[in-house]
Amino acid sequence: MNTFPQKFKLLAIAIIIAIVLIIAFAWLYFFQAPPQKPVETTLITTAPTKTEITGKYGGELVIANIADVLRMDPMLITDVPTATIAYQIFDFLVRYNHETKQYEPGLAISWEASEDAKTWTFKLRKGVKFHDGTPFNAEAVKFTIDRVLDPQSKSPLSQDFRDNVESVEVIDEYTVVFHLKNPLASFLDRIIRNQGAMIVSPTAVKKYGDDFSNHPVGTGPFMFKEWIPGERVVLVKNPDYWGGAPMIDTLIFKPMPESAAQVAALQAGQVDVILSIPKESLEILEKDPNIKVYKMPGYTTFGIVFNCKSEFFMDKRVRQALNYAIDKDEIVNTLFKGIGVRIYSPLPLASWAYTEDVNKFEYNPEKAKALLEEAGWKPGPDGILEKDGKKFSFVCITQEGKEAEDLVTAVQSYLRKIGIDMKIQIFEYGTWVDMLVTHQFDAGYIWWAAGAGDPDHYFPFLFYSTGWANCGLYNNSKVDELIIKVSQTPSFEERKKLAAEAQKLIVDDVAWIHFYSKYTMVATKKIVGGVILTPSEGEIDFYKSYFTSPKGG
Amino acid sequence: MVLRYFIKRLFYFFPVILTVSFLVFIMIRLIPGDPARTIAGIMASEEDVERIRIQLGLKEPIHIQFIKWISNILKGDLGISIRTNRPVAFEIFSRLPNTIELTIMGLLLAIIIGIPIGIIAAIKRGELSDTLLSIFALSGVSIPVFWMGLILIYIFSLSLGILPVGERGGPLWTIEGLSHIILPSITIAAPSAGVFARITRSSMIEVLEQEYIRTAKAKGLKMNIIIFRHCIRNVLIQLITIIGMQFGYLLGGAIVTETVFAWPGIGRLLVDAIISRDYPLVQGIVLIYSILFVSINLFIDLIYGIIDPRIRYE
Repeated sequence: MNTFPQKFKLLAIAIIIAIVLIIAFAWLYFFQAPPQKPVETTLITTAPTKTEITGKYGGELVIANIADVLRMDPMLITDVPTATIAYQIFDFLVRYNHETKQYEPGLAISWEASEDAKTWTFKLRKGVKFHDGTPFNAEAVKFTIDRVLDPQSKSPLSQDFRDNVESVEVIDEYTVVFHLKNPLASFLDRIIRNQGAMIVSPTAVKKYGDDFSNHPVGTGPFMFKEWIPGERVVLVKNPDYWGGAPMIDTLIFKPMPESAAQVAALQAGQVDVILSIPKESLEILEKDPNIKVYKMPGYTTFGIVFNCKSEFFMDKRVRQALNYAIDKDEIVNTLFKGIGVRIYSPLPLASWAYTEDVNKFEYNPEKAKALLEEAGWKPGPDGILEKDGKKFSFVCITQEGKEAEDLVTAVQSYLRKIGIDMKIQIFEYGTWVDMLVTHQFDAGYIWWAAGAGDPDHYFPFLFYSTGWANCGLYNNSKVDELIIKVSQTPSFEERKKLAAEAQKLIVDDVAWIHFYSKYTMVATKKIVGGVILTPSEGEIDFYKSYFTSPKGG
Repeated sequence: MVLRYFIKRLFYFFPVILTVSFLVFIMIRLIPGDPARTIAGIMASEEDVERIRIQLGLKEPIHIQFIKWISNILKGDLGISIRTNRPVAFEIFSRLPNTIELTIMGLLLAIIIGIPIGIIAAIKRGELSDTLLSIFALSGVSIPVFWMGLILIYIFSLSLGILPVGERGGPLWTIEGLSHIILPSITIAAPSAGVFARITRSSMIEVLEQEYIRTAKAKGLKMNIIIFRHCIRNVLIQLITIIGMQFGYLLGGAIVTETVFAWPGIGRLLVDAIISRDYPLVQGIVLIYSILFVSINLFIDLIYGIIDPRIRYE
């Protein structure tokens, strides 16, 4: 047996392969993807901030974000983590003060609507420049909106914009007029403060094309500097911001997908701000003397939706019975204490149109049984209700996650008490959404997040008979009528009345069982001040943030 | 002879990768959930979603899609990520070094921790230290990765405050970079270290039971020489095969570990890609994963062939 040469050959091959692999790995290791070039502006290398206002310091604010940034082109954004970043880089024409519930000037200094709310004229701020030096003017506004309106646009907002906006007209350098297809009272909320209407630099869009997603250029208080995949997004302050330069020199967003690790990183001092607080950690953070928790009722609502075409839930009485059979107060107070607030209608508590003047469906199992009896459901031999030999046994679909599973499990146990067998099927997010929008369910866990509290952000999508997100195929012609009126009536007071009426009907029909609207929350180190939270997730303002003592000092 | 063995091995390489790619291509499309809908968000209208579907080429028959994908790969184009609009190659290669770094660190740690534990346990068989080490190894294998990660964060970052919670701190040759990789690499190494320890222990014991070792003992040879002369080689043969498999497990473990420790690797990217049904990105990552996996195994096979001549004469 002459194995030596054999062995030798084999060894040679192995060594060659090893070398190839090592070279490949080494190449990969040093293969640094071309770093994202800073925006070409004359970046003023910021000297250490002087304490212009005593007790306020600049420096580097590190923010933990739940995921890495996706597309920073405003008209393409559909995820909260990216929206949070874009919100610092871009401006809207109009700002909204959530404290006073008033609109305030943004890039527009004044605006007026025609009598019929179909024509909106904006006077623009003069002397504003984009981060790349392009002057901001009426052309830039038209350019921004036309980009979304374009039928070939990649924006998922395109259809919505086209349904509402006829055209944008430039009157002069600082005056722009929006012509709408229908009267739209909530125009400022629905369109102007929609991500698609964050004003972008025409020069940069033409220059980068599709790549604008990675080189966002706006007029906002912070400028995009770099993105390192999976590691960080760095923004630097805009020294020439029209509202005055921010205190903070640099914003660093770090993706930390595990919220428990975010909490640990905040407590260990590795990050200054975290944007998602798990329920379990809320109490710990609130007790921690070095940490501040900011909270306010938000625009996200949670509930159970019924498929009105399902054999079980076609009958309104059955839906009402289930609503009586579940103690919503108890569920919200025990399971969602501190993270959510009980709501009785389809709108979030933070909405100006929210009303509690509806049927509250207080817990009443007896009434539930009576209603079910009326609808023909009688207890069978095993205690489960039956009708025409069919058991009342249905499936409730839900997305995975503690909050969702807690809620449906509680609902399940209440229903068991009155002889209804509800099975739970848990799906991963994409599947769950797909089943909801294709109506493949009897009942389902559902939530709705909007960027503003206007009823127009809720009704047309969720409860209009042909609404895109009307998952339960809810259909009430009277409600449809009201929804259109709410959207087209110019008078604010009138709209409030109409919205209240719509809520009354929707609640009484039990399109959803409404549970709670969530608080938006952030937690910061104690030395961070001036973080402005809003009910809209992702709309967190770091423009006025500062440190109360020099960081690291 | 040798070349034939090598070519035979190589012969598995491409079919495996092609099969894996094809299976993933089919499977990701079998999951309910629509990438166009996920991108557009729930507030988008059906018309917009449909337009996005057409733009993404999702309306074409699946075999056409697959052929297109393969032919683009042969041109060196992995496609464009749906979610981010950036080239898949860029998304992967800007993060892959971080994953390689973490898995290699994990593998080294697992070897450094696992093998000595196995050797000591084998020599001290039946004694208290053997029991303790075996329990230690068993817990390494059985503790869920994410739980272990969070516990480590709790102890070392929160209570003691000596190590960072996560993220990549920088290159490995800096103190900063090293301190950041310690916890994730311990987390990722634990299950493999447990496996190595158990394999080492059992194969050591097997060897120690052999006639010739007893003879050597009887001849009065010193124990440590016996161990290093006879046992280690046998243990190595066992371990080499396992290392290839373990590398795969480590890559799998990276998915969870990277999520817990916010490590910017492709494991986490894969999770995000699957959740948002980013077909091109999922396909690209799995392709790279399988190439890595198969080439490591090919390499291990060759080494194995060197160590154990019987293999190549089959």
